[in-house]
Amino acid sequence: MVENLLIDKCKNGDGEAYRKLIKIYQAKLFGYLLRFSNSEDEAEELFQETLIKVWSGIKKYNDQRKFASWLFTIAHNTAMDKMRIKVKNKNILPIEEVDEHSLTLLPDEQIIQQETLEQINRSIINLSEKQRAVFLLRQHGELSFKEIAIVTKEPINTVLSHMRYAIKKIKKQIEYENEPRKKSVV
Amino acid sequence: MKMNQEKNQLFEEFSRELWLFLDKDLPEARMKFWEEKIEKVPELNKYLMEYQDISKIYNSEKIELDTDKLNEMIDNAVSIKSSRWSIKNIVSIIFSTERELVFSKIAFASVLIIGAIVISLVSNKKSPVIQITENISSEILDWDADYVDKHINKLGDLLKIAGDEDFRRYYKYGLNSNNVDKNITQINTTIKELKENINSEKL
Repeated sequence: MVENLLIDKCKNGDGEAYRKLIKIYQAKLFGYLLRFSNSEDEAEELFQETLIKVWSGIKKYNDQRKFASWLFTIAHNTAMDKMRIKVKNKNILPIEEVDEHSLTLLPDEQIIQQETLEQINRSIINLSEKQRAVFLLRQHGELSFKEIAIVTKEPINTVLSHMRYAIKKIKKQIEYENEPRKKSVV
Repeated sequence: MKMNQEKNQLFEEFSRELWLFLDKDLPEARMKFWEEKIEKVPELNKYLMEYQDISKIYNSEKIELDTDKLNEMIDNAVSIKSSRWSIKNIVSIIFSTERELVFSKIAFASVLIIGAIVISLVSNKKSPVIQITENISSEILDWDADYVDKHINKLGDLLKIAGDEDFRRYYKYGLNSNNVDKNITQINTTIKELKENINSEKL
């Protein structure tokens, strides 16, 4: 598999192989960090730290484990550490508006989808840290819940419960926002 | 009434097991059970569809980093690792914005080297236990071993700062020129104390 070859090359210090490997995951990884931190600047900083840690530790990576799972463990720990420092310093930044991508003229269905997407993104901000992490690891990391349990160091039932409540809250938020407009989206 | 209770219970169970069902991480019989129920019970089907809709819409957004920025970040990551053990590079990272501190650069690098030599010489003799009894000289054993240990650890901690993989981050957030000076002074004092004690014991 290409990924395994790239990992082997990375272990031998091949920077170009690392570039190719990261490009496979960059969108998922950056998306996870962006939605987790809700700040583009912070996400970039976390992304950079993650890249440094992954490159420094790639020799320790054991292919018994899925690379994505290992990669997201590092990203998750980096993000959680940062979050802890933020809470400790009581320096929580105000929620930033996430960039709106290419909002050109869209057909009705796409407009509704775009609105729903924005509602989901807003509701993610209101999830607890753990619920948010589980939801995002699932969506961006495409990890199984057993893998998420390993990444977050939580028992599987706790992880499942976080996911269940995350979805419940997201649905509630969408319903709440759509109610006044009498729309049924999801 | 009983029918409703059963339905509610079924729904509760499904909302707990849905995720394992999607991962196909349930026993075969249970997978089959839910497959049949989803077909027969509209509430379960609706619940599943709602999650899949949310997931689909959420995943429709493509988030990507600018290519140049991404390349720069990858280059940064790779270059930090390759320069990790080079004292010259570590020192250049520390003082990259403060060229006037040339003498401090030399002093800092020298102290790091001296510290590393002291640690390697002494720590080899005191660990592990067998080596202690076989190799360590009676002079050092007679001398205050706790004191040596304390100072070695202190030096080790200071050196760890320089060898740590998060060194650049540490520097970025917490190591200004005052802190560097403070650390250099601290290493110098520790080495001085250590030398004085070794000399006094020899006498």
